[in-house]
Amino acid sequence: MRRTFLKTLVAAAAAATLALPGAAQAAYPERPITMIVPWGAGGGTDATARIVGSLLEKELGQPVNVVNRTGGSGVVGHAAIADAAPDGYTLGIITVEIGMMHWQGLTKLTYADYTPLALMNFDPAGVQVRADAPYKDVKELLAAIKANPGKYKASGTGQGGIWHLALAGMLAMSDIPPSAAPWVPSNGAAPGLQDLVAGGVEVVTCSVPEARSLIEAGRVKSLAIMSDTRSELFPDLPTLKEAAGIDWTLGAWRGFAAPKGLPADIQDKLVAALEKIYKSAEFQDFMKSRGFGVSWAAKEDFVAYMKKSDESLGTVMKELGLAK
Amino acid sequence: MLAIEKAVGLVATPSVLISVFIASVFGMLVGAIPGLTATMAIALLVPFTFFMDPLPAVGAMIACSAMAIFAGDIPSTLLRIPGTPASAAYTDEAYAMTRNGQAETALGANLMFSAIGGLFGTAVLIVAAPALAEVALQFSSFEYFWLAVLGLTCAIFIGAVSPLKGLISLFIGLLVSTIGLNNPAGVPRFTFGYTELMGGIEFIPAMVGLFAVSEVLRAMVHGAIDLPMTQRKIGNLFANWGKMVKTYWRQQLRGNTLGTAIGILPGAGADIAAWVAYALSKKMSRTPEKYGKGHVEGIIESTSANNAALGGAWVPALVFGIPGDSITAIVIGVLFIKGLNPGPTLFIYNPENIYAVFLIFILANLFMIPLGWAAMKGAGYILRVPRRVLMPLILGFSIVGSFAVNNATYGIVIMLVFGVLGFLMEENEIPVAPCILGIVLGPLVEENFVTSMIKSNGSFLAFFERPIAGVLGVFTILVVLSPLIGMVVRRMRGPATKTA
Amino acid sequence: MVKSDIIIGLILTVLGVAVILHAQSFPDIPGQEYGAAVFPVIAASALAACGLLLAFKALRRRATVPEGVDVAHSMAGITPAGWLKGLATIALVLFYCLFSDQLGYIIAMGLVLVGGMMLLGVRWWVAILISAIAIFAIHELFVVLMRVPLPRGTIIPF
Repeated sequence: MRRTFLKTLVAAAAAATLALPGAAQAAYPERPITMIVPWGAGGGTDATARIVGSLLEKELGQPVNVVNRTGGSGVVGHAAIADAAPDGYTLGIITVEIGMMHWQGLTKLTYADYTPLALMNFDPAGVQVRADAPYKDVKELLAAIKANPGKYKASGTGQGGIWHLALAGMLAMSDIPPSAAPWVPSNGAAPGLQDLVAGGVEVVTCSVPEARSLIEAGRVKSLAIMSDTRSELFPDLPTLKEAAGIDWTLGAWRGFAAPKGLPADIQDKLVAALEKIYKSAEFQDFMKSRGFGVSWAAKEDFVAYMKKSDESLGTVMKELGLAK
Repeated sequence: MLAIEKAVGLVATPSVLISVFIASVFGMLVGAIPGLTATMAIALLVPFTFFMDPLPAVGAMIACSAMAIFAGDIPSTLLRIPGTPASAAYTDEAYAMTRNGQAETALGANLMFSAIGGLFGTAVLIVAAPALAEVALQFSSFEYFWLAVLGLTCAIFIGAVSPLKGLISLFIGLLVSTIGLNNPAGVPRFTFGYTELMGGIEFIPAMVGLFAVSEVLRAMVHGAIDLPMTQRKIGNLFANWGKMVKTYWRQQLRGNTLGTAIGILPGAGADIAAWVAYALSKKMSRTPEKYGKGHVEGIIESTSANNAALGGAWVPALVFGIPGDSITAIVIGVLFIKGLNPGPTLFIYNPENIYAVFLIFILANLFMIPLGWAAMKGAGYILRVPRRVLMPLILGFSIVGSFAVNNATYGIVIMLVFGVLGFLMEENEIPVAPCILGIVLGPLVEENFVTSMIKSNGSFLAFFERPIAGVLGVFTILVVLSPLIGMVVRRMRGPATKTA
Repeated sequence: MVKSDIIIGLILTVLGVAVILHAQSFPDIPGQEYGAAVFPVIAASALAACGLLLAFKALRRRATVPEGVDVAHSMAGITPAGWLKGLATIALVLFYCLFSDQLGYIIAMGLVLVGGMMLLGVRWWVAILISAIAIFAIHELFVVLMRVPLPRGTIIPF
């Protein structure tokens, strides 16, 4: 049984103490709200949570404190959101990793352990190479990998991370064994991209906004985007299907959720507020300026979205031998 | 030069100056509070910058981070609680000076050499940003591996009484750094099924525990004996400035250069710069035996280095949008929002904006002197508090600070465990500083080793094949072997010196 | 110092060996020749080696020192009352960890501060007065200014 440190410690104390009274929610929110971010300050998830947090503060009339609970590739923060009291005073931003960690046996948590609020962002993976690389398009790159298995290394995130799966899925769909392009784990997209420029690796399959500054600096070029539609940021960039006829899409999404068991009236209130924020000029401008893609799905739609994401990730991970 | 004139016009507006000033005060406050880091201060500024114009927003962040890094020296000197990780390298040295009744010399040195270091880093940023970024961009995992190993060798030189005990402390730190999920293989290690342990050992609570809580425990166990009466207030901070610059200008220059160089490398920041500078200072010093007992020389060199590193970190950030540390990572995000997309184009199309950013750097480092003076004078009252009152207060601050790092009680548990560990280690004359070094550098060494081995298909030779890596590798091996070589040389010379 | 070095050396050696044994259970990673166990094993081996060396050196030194003369070290000078105060401090922090969620930051911290000061012999009313000021100051800095969600407590929520 996996119990947290503190749970074990406070079990006795908690049993003796009465839980917070569930009544008196008519005036929600009547005190500050905490929003948990499972990733570090400075990243895209943190930035998204902070802009939504500051807009939510205006919407609800109560302070929204954005707090980072980092570590364990997102496990710690996701667990903290799920473990909080479902009183509407602790919310969180959950990311695509919620559909990956349980396959790896890192946690038992899945999307079903949350009260879904709304999906607000989706960024597909891109295929990035050095600007002076000899490949004109993805087809040439894939041919080169196929011809020299093991020679070209790829990077962009940790072992078994979302961008690793993006690469593996793309290779598998082109009938190339994923081991033909060994994965070099990196601590996020930025170090992976730096290693790409330094000549340490050949391909980085991170999202396009993450590679944006190096693309604009003329050091890196993107060959394709793993999505059904083209990117708003780089409209000239073909989709993987257009470029190589591979029907493979994968990306990172971010959405807002609360602990499971949130009363329906609070859920409605929060979803309504989030929808207003989503449609606001501030939010749209912010996401556009960072190059982040926007995407909306609330409540049941969000659950269906997460379910689909969870299943397709599971398939790839099993193929890669990453799932337990 | 038209761009510079324009830049002066951009900076010399009330909105920029006021926001830089307020952010400076805020950064000073956050940096001086144990457990709160410069990164946290910047993250808290982010929501405010949404509603600001680009230049005041960026200016506020620059000023805030410069002040926070510097202000970390204050609690580190007075209470032995490093305010920021960048201060940890010379915490013991500065605290020893306070115990010797030389707090004002230590603080004065911190203030002056931080400001000069910051200005030096800025100067490098102005003169050579694009060219240097180009070099830094060529660093791959092979080069970083050697750099991290070089950092580890510092443990041999900073270890106080016995090198063996220094090594023991280092390896304890290295083992601690392997706890959790954050390793190249992505598998949980030593977590025993606890979710919190997957996140690994948070660095800041561990540091607060090793330095501050161990000191509290010592006071509890041995009795809280007050410092000598001489050190009850901060004297003239500026008293020894002229003399220090004259005596230690070499150390200062070396610290500046080294700090800037390390800061420029993405992924290595002010904290590593401070460690390496301190070790180098001891190694090169004519009086290494004075180190660790309250000697200002090492403090000068490493405080010069950590503030210079801050300027250096902006080189890859501005030129390529690659964060040099967690602070620049946040600022890059804000730059994008404000339409100042980092990259070479920023230098070509908006030179006046870049110059304005540079001017704010200079301004922030000049603000540092009066603000730092005020903060130190205020903090000096701490010295008048009897230690039997002060020690529980330190414990309280440590608890809240450790909680604040990740907003979790888990941080307090780590703090306590490391407090007890630090107490036991120091009671047995095992220094704690190398342990911190191990926790900081362990992941860097491992990641870069494993990724390099994947890239080279398992060949060790690859660590010497790239030109920069080869040079760094040979240099590192020489440094590691230098005590051995020194011993052999001394043995061979031994008889000769006896007869002389 | 000599005796304690032998004990510490042996403890570290045992710790190192335990880590090496535990690391054998780490899984292999496809595509990574140097897996999760390599680095911990290297560090643990080095720690064990240092531990052995420390114990060995101390043993050798002991042989040269006359029997029964143990060089004094600071831990030997701790009184039973000192040990108790140390343990009480640890207990205070543990108490905060366990009950701050229920009691809230203000009460839990108050107990830690007042308790700590009383242990060091501060008069009770001085301890309470200073603790109250410190708690207010920390609350303003962390909760109001820095927005750190310190526990509010479920009994008397603030």
